[in-house]
Amino acid sequence: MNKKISPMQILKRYGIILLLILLVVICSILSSNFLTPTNIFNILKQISVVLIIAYGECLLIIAGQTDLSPGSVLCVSGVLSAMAFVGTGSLVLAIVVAILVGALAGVCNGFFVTRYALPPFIVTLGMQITARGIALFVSHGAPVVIGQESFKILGQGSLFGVPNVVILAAVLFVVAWFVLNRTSYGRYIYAVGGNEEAAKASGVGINKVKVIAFTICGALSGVAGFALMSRMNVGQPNAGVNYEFDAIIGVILGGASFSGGIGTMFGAVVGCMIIGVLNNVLNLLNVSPYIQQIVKGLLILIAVVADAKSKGQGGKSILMSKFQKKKQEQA
Amino acid sequence: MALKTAILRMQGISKSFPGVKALKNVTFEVEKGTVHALIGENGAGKSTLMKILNGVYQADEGDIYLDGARVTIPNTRAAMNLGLSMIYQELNEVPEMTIAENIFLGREPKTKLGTVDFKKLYDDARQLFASFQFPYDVYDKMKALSVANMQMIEIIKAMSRNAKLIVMDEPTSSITDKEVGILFDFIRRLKQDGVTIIYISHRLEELAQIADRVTVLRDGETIDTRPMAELSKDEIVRMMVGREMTEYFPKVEVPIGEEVLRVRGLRCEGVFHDVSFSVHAGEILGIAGLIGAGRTETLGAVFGLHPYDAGEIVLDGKRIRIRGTRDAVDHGIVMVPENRKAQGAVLIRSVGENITLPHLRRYRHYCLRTKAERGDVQRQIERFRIKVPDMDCRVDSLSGGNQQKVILGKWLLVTPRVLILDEPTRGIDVGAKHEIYKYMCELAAEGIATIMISSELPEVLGMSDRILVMANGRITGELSRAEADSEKILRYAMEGT
Repeated sequence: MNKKISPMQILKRYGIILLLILLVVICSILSSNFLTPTNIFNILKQISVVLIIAYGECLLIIAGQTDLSPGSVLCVSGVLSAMAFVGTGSLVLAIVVAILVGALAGVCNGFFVTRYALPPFIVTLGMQITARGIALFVSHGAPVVIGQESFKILGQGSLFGVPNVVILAAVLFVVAWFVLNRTSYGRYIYAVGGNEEAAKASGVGINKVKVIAFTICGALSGVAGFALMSRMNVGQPNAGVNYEFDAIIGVILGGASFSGGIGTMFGAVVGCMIIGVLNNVLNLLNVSPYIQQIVKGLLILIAVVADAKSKGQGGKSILMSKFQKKKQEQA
Repeated sequence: MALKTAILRMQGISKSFPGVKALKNVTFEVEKGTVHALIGENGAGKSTLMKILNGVYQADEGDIYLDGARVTIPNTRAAMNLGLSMIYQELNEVPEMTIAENIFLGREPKTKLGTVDFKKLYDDARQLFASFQFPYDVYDKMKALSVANMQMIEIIKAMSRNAKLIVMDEPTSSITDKEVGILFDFIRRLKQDGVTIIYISHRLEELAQIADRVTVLRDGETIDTRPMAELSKDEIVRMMVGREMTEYFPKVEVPIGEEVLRVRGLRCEGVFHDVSFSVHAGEILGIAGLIGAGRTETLGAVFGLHPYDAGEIVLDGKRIRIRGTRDAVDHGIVMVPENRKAQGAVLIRSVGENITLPHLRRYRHYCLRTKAERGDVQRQIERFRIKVPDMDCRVDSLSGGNQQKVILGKWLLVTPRVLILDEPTRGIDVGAKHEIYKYMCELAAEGIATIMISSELPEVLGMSDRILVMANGRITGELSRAEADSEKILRYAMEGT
């Protein structure tokens, strides 16, 4: 079981990329508009907001947790940020408000999950509804109109032709990757998700690890909220609905296990890109939004089945298990 | 010596599990209408034998006769149909349902329409209650009952299925003395009705009250079956432990140094009480006792895994506070837990990650996977001769012995002051066991204070410099290496039970 498996390990690691490449090739054949620089940047811009959330979800899912609130937290952070900007005209303050509100929501999630030993599913569902309610309440259900152009800098501006929001998502990816792979905290995340009891018995403060993960996810939702409102140049209290699901699907598609302990940032990004490409090409092909939803729903099922099937086999991605089967059949 | 009125005869039963021969040609005979005690040390084969009787396991060899007729018991349902019933230590009741619903769970009487016939269900239950003089209302919720009463409900449930033979596994382990009396009255009534009871227990005083005959198992073999009245407690203990020490322990006695850890009056209500002991540098302190004596919980408290209400922990003469495992690790108190899979290692992560998990602060926080970390892991792999293809392979791909060595490697990456080992050799093969004993001696020689909880008497006797015996959450005896023997330990272990 040493050298022989290495081609398999390569597949395991890069199988999901092959799936993305395959998807891109098929899309370029189906639609001539697909593989143009404008469209590619468009896709990247569209997925950036979900990606930023996905980094947080990825940490949480690896730690054996989950967060259903980012879509709403994003919204309440974005709306409050927009209001702060309208009130003071300070972009810095707007950004700080977005991050702080998000982080606060995350701390609350973490507090309830650890202090009262509640399932994250329920706690964050409560947060999802509460945060959305707060967003609607403070804005009286109406968009917060922003007059000045400077608010748009993150969402609509670009640097050397690359949209700012894409740059932000890329920078945050590097940070998130580093945290997960190169810091003690990242190791604790894997350990807590892999076996909470064993992590505890190894001197890891599991509650602290969880609260921090929820806080990071909340803060990232805040950043995503600012990015989204900045793109729309309006504080929209109905924005961001179901964004958490896109992020979760991306993370799971990228090989993370819902039972925790397994997953990568890189996989999460590729998973989100697959969803982004799929959304984009279905739009380009004028597929009805209803059918788009069906496709997305099926994708979740596939991702979850793949997760269940790979359990105890080293958390292989979907493609991996298919290849392995083929190989076994050949043998 | 076949009994004329034997309701059950298990003959020549053998059963092997990978690596262990659990039962060797066991013969077990039970007379109708008696209470028959089945006793033996932890791991003597009592549970295995009863699980075979109940269809949970299949014997490799041997026959089972019920009322003189040979029977096969392929599963628990078959056992139930034959009138055999087993009541486990952990009861499986649905606390929110009524008592009557619990009794008929899964076999509710039905009306013509196929719905549950609640009238008949409660009438039947009421009849059962009346015939057993059970003083509760059939509409009461199950959760209103005490553990002893729940046990009686389990028995009533068994009786409502026309059970002829009921196996009770340590029924008194979690109930009060008063409740034991109620339970025993109940058992005596059953006996009068001609029901046979096989009673598994460690509590010899209780057996004297309730059992008619007793069978002793040891190391998977039947030692003897005798009428209870003929036997003294000492005789039973001797039968239970009378084994030759065939295992070889590589014990090296090293000079014992200063006191390292002292625990004073450690108490956790209902779990352990006023536990005080100390352990010295270079010493291996064995902690013996029966399963459930509170050993794991007590030492768990020292390691910050288990809460405690009162008491103090003193390390190197200074009182320390342990609020969690992190505190313990920072003070150099580490524990290899009893349950490797649940607590020992993060099985789905790599050997390397597991070994450095408690020590990540040693490396630069923001830059892991450096040469320093990987070098440390490699050193531990070599030191404990852990057989791995590479340090990135998952722990669950290793054998039990190698997993245990990974956990040892983890805790000895930084030399601890106190090493607590909870059942360090449970479930691992003989070779790896021997290696672990050797490491224990090496570590003692380095001056580490070792505390070893073990339910295997030969191991305790072979490895310890000093032995503490616990029973019911208290220390009931202390023995030096020279004066300790199995009988003394067992007598202390059964004290106050």
